[in-house]
Amino acid sequence: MENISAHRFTDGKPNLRRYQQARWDEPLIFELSQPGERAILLPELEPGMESATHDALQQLPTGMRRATAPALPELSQNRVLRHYLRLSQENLGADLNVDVGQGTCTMKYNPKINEQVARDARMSELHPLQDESTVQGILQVMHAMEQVICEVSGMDAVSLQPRSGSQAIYANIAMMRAWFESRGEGEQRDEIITTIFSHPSDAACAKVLGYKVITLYPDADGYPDLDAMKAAVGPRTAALIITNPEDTGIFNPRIAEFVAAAHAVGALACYDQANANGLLGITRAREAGFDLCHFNLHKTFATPHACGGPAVGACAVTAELAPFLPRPRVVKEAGERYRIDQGEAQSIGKVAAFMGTASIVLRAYAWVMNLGAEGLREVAEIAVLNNNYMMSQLLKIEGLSAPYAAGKRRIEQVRYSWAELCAATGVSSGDIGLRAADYGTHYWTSHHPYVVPEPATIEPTEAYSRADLDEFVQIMARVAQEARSTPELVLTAPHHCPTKRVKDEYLEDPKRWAITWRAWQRKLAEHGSAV
Amino acid sequence: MRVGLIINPIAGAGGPLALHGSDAYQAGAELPAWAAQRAEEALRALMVSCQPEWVCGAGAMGEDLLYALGIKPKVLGRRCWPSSAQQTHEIAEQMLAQDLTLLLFVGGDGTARDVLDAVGEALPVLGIPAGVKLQSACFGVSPRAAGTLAASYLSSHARVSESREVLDLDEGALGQGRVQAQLYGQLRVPVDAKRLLQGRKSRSEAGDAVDAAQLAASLLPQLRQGLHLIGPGSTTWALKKALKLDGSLIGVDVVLDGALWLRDATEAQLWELARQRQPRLWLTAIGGQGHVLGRGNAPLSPRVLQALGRAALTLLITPRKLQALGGVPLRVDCGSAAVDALYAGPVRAMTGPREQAMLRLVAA
Repeated sequence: MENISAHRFTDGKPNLRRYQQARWDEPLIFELSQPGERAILLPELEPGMESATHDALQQLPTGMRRATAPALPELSQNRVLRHYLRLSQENLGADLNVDVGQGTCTMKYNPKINEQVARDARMSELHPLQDESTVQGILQVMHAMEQVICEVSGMDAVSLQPRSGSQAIYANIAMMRAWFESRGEGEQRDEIITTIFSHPSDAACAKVLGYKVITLYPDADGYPDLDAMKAAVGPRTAALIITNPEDTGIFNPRIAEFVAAAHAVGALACYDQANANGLLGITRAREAGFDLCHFNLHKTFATPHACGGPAVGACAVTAELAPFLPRPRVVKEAGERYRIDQGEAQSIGKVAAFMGTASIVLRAYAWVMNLGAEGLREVAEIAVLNNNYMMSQLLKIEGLSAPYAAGKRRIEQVRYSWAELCAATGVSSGDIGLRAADYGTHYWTSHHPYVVPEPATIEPTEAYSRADLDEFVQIMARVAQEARSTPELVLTAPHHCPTKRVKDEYLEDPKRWAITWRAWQRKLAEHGSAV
Repeated sequence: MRVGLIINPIAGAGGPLALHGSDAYQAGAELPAWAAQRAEEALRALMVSCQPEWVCGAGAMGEDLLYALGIKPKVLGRRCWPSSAQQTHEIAEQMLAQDLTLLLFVGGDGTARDVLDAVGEALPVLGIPAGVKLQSACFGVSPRAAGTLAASYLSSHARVSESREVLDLDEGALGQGRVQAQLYGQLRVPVDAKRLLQGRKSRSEAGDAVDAAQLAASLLPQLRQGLHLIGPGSTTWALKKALKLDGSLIGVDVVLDGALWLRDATEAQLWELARQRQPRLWLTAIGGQGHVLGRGNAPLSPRVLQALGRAALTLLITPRKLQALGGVPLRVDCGSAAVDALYAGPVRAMTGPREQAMLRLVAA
């Protein structure tokens, strides 16, 4: 083990960190439960109060009352706090690590000031059923954010209702279907074309909505095959849904020809802008001829990711498709007044309750207004610069390559391949990710199927400094070196984390895992110690 | 610089007869032309940039072809017909003492195993594909590709070679309904930077069978009516299983209105059908290699394919198989450049229920 003093900026660059994640052997919260223990003891009701309120429970309809109390854990407040603080220390959270290895998710810093704004009582205490005259502020923000998305995309109308990127894709496809149905072509057009390196939710949502999905594969240079696109389109084509740049980070310079091929057969073209972080203020969906697009506010617009909190997917469409947007919509009226409009008869209806996730819209709006138009463009420029700097450094590592488009620069991410290293050492990309955790950083391979063999997707957004990027590169170089010198070390990683390697076959066997206490109890009873 | 050439003259001859190999082929008085044709294609590509000295087997095992091409080779062994595996083995053994830079052999997996037994990894070798079964990783993707690769190897200074697998069909697994290759050893083959070598056939994974079964179930309504030719392989076998047919895993079956009409049909039988009726053709690609035509489905000869027409073809390929190909294009190499060209181009492949991939068929 090296001298610890050598681990900090000794030559102006960060050196490899010695990292040991906390390990608490913390029981499950249900196992900590002690009958009768309480976090908060409520005072006895004062005399007179009880007779004034009567038994509140009796006012609930009988059918909605539980027969037995819920089986919740019973703990004092400080034990609850210690429990969750310990769990948080066993986590590689967004504020703990340089998470550029979580590529294509567009991990970027979520400024704390935006959290403060969203947690202000004037936001947090709003209720969606309040009269619109009492929520003018947030309606104004939502309307203004729609205008921002219109400007960024070039589109005419926006809905911020979807609560995730995939829900926005679903809404976009539902709108396209409704548009074709309104023209009597709904039955005929049952095919949607996408590409293998596009956002996987594009194919998934199309299929959920009943479409046949036709996937285009890359040509030798890594671009979607335009000849295949031309051969695929026809009278049954409803739409092209495509990401650009794709998850390889390669920008498709012939995107307008793909859009034209769809339009030539009467189909629509829908732009999945999940990878928009390198394009803000530089290219727009409208100029490429698209009819619809969507953005993930939790990616490009610096709000927290879903799974870690609710998200927002923004749908943006041309005027022709605007009547089909989800409803209700925010409408601006004379005298700076805002109204919740129940929308047009042709609307696809609701994709989420009420107006979606208003507090996330507020965070994104705060971020955009802090940066301004020039700032947004600078975000894209720095993200692209960071990515290409990082690529130049990472490709010095023996055994790592960036398939396709050799010698060309990428936009905001790169899908690398460890195939050479794997062939030489038997260490796979997944093994490298687990070993990277020992150095305190998160790392992700890629969506399945692995079209690029032994993939790694790295996306250094504008939020990371050169020192951050250098640190990540060093970790990759070190792990690659370990793969050659001490492959066992990598193949048995992680070693510095609270959880050891989990066998994949366990994850594929539902008997061996549970995501709730109740399910775990049930499976334990059914399968015994095999669990 | 000396190059060896061994032609297995009956390589591929069993294919049109649905024999799945040529060991059981009863040689007639007339020599089949297939292996010599494939060898000639490869040699012509090689000799564009390379004029080595040649050492070859006697008669149909190399001598006749080289003389026909105006080359006077050093000849090993004695002219005899029909030839046998034993002869291939003996000539390959004699090749070891000939100071060769490279040994070319023309045949299939059986020939590769004969060469392996005699030569091992003592000599760099390269296979010119002409056999019925071509699962090993030591063959060019086509005869022309093999010739080109040989030429670039011979003219390079480094002459780097690598060990690649020799495989042959595992008869035991076949009995249990799996197309699985058995590994027999490795041959030293020129390193290929341009994907001129075919990959070894990859085993279908367990999850693959689930995907194939789902795909097959979604196609049942189409298969229960009309006349269908269903090719070999585990993906297309899922169709035969879904129809509850006692079909062949490694042959072309003929299905009429959902019932098995002909199991393991011969080229002649398919030719009759293709001429007189309009059957649909269901094929998959060979895992790891990407060949759709010209590997393991010899009864689908150029004239059968010509008569069927490209529109008759439905291609099935599971997502895992597609992934395992790692960007390798799908290939056609049926023995006729004109028919290969007819089938080449963008193709819609069924990958799952309501899922297709636009892929490209390339003449190998």
